[in-house]
Amino acid sequence: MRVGGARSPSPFPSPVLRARGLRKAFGSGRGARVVLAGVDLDIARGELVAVVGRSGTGKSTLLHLLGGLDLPDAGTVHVVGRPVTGASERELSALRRDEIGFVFQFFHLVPELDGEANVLLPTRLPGASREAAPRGRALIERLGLGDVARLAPHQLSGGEQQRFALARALVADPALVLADEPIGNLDAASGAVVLDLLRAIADDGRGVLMVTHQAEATARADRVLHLTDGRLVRFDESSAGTVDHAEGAAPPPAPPRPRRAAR
Amino acid sequence: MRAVLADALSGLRARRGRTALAGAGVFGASLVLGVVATAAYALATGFDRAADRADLPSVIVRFDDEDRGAVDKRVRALPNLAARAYRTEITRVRLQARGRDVDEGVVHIVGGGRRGYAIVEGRDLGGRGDEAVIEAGLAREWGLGPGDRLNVGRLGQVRVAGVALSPDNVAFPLVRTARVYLSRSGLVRRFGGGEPRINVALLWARDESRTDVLLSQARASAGGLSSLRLTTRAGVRALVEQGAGLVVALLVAFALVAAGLAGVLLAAGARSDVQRRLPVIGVRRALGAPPSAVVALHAAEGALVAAPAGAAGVGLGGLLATGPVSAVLDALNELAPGAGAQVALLLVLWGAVVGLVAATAAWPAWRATRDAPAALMRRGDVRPPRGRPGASAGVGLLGARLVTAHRARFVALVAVLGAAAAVMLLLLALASLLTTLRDDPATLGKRYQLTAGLHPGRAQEVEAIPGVRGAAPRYEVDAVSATSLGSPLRLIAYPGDHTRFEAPALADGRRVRAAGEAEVGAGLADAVGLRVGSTLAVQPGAARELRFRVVGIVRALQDEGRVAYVRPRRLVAALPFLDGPLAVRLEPGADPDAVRRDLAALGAVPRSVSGATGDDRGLLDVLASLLRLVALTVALVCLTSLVQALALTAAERRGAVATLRATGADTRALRRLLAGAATAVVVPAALLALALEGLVLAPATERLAAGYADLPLRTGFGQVALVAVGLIVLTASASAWTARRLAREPVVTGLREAET
Repeated sequence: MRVGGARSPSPFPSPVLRARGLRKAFGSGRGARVVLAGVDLDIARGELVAVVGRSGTGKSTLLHLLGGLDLPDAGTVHVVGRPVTGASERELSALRRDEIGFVFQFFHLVPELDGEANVLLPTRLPGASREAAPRGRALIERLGLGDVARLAPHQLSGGEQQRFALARALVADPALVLADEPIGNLDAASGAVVLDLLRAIADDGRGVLMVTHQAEATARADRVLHLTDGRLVRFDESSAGTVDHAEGAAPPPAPPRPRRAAR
Repeated sequence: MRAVLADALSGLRARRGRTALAGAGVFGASLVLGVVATAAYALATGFDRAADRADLPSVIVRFDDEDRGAVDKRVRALPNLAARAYRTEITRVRLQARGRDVDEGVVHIVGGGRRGYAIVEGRDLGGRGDEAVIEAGLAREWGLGPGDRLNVGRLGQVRVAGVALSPDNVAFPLVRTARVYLSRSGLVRRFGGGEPRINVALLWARDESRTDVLLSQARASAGGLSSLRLTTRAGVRALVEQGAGLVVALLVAFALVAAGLAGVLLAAGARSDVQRRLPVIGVRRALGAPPSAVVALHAAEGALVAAPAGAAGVGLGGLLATGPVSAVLDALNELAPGAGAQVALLLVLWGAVVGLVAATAAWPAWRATRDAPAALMRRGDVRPPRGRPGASAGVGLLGARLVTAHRARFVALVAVLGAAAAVMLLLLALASLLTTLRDDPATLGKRYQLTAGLHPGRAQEVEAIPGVRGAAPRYEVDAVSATSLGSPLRLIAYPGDHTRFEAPALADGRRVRAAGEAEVGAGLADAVGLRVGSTLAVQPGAARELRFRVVGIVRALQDEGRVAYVRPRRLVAALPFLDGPLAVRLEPGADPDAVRRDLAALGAVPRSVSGATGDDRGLLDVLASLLRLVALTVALVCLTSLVQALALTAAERRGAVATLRATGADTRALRRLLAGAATAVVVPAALLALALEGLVLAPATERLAAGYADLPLRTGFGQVALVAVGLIVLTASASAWTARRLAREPVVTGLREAET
């Protein structure tokens, strides 16, 4: 199934996301704890990339830096060719509004608004596209949330909440979706639905980066990267998580893979 | 205890931002409390302080010149008499110094015994005839001090020995008369001759509560003394406090509003903090901390925040209020409290602030400890909202939803902001009224615009001037009530219907129709206990007692309503040399300058009529300025409260705000969000303010003032527009400021907090 509809061809060349030399430390001086020590990462259109790693290794921090939610100490990030690092708050806001969709482990739905209003929240922001609102309503229907669209978040199941959050992430038709532990708070069945959706989102021509702990999530990914010692390395399942080679950047061009049908 | 304080300190350090916000709130509330309490205390107690310091007599008796021995023989036989002193009062003495002069100087020649005034600079009179003590108002206005020279009428030059203060009247130049005290023995020594005759006796009662006994005996034994006028300390106090009482009442009302506002915000902040930290409280309880330890920790945190912030606010408030209040007290011939009393007051206030903050922090913690630790640990930052969830709408509406999520706090905030805005409206209306009183004679019920010093017989000539609607002689005589402890009043008389020239609103009864009738001001009626049908007995100047039947009560503002309108026949009969200018009423649209020229051509010196008399103008200006200053302070408090409320909402809903930012909201969108939140508070608060002011405060103030004056308090379009614009500016600036602060924080900080 198609979730948000195939993205229209972009004037920007691939990759959707390009990060180079990202560094981030918490604290200062001798007590500083370096969590990212020069991360390079490319994500192409149609690619679903999973980042795994132990707790506290900086997976969420990486996601926040890529989405412009936090500032790196060094390095650069570009989304669809537009700079994230060094951008002004206004430019960052516009980038998040138009090109990046976020999905969070704790959903972050506004409790005072019903499901539909949460999805349509970004469409009410200054500068939002006029097509966003009808797209949001269509997404609600496509994700099977029409019957519960008028319910408050606390009246929804975890899976429903995450699907509303997914719809909200897609309402502006972003080129990149960043998902932080998207199934971390869901049961197996709900998690599977959400993972299928993320796969479909990537198959629609978006870049998707997912931070996760779960094996079932990595199974859906085109690439799995392991964040260890502040660097991204290719995850090799056969060697049970040992380092294969240090490379977060995109692999050499490969023949286009057929899009999966959504389950 | 030490461990609790250490825990509290480390907790506060860990939440520096929230601690600073709470501290700012406590500081703002304390600042307002400091200003208001300092002003209210100083004004409410100023008279007593000055009267005690000046040793103001219980009764001041004035009469025509008499031999001192003869008077003393009667006085010393009075019951309940602790002490007595005599003076000779000489009026209309020309005073000159430093190139300035006044014709209305009053010289008091004082003898031995108690003085009835306080020396505030220099020293008291010795036995020299070439030195004087001058009143503080004169010293201040002319820049005189001990050692300076002053010309006192025909006595010539004297040296200023000291500066005195006596609260039996307001200060020069608020009154035209400037007082100078000279030594009787010094004058006798200098100029020779016998002792001057006296016309003032100062009587001090042994038991102040039984002054009435002294008074009635004084009246009974005063036979033979002409032009007897008695003034009591209580009477002077009532007269002075009628003016300042309204301001004090307003300040007290404002203090209550400010305290309410501070309480609501502090309580809201504390509750929100406790709500956010419920899991931590749960963990503490699970680890074995008793409820008392949790409560003590929160109370200690509150007290630690409040102690420095409250001290700074209360102290600064006290300092800010001192200057303007001193100016008002100086004008009223009253004394500011001493440093010790001020510090004590501020310390009490500080203690109250710290106690209030500690209590507001401890109360929600105590309530939280009643839940099981497991339940506490499960509860997150925000409980599910009640009612239907909101449908899709603008960001502004989302802001409104966020701020109304806590219903009780929202209602309290609207109520307190509404009350503050209502007080602000009332203050502005009062200030505007005072300004109008100063400038517009119509507000005093005066319908004439000019006076001309011409013989009454020439009224017809004046009426013939183009643009003149009417002219009539206006007689005005100072008198005292013959039945009520010598209460001062002013008799105003016109031949025929006085309402053509002066028509204060009739509160009861009817207008004067005959020579033996009087309309009395509400202030006089209140002071002397008159009503329609009563008899008004007065002693005008040196004349015999006159009696009038009260036929109407009018809402006169002149002289605090202590006036009576009568026909002139009896007055002229009692005071044959009574004279008065012609009151000249102009046609609507007439050119006053042209009429003035024509009057001058008739040989008159025309004068424009202002709203208040010259005596009152200065005080009206000071009071209007004070009211506007307090209104401005209220506006600042509203701004602080609104900013705090928005900051509190934003802090509580950090997660929602961060999510909004993660989906692309920029500073402009945050401003809209917060403006929606502010509007949700401000609009109902403004409506409440209008209703409160129009239906409760203004009528209550009118009723309060109606005892002695008519205060037509109607909030004008200008004041409503000013407050509306102020509220819009308030909303915009509070939203902009808070949005700017929010935008500075990395989005991820809010997200992280919402996830923990």
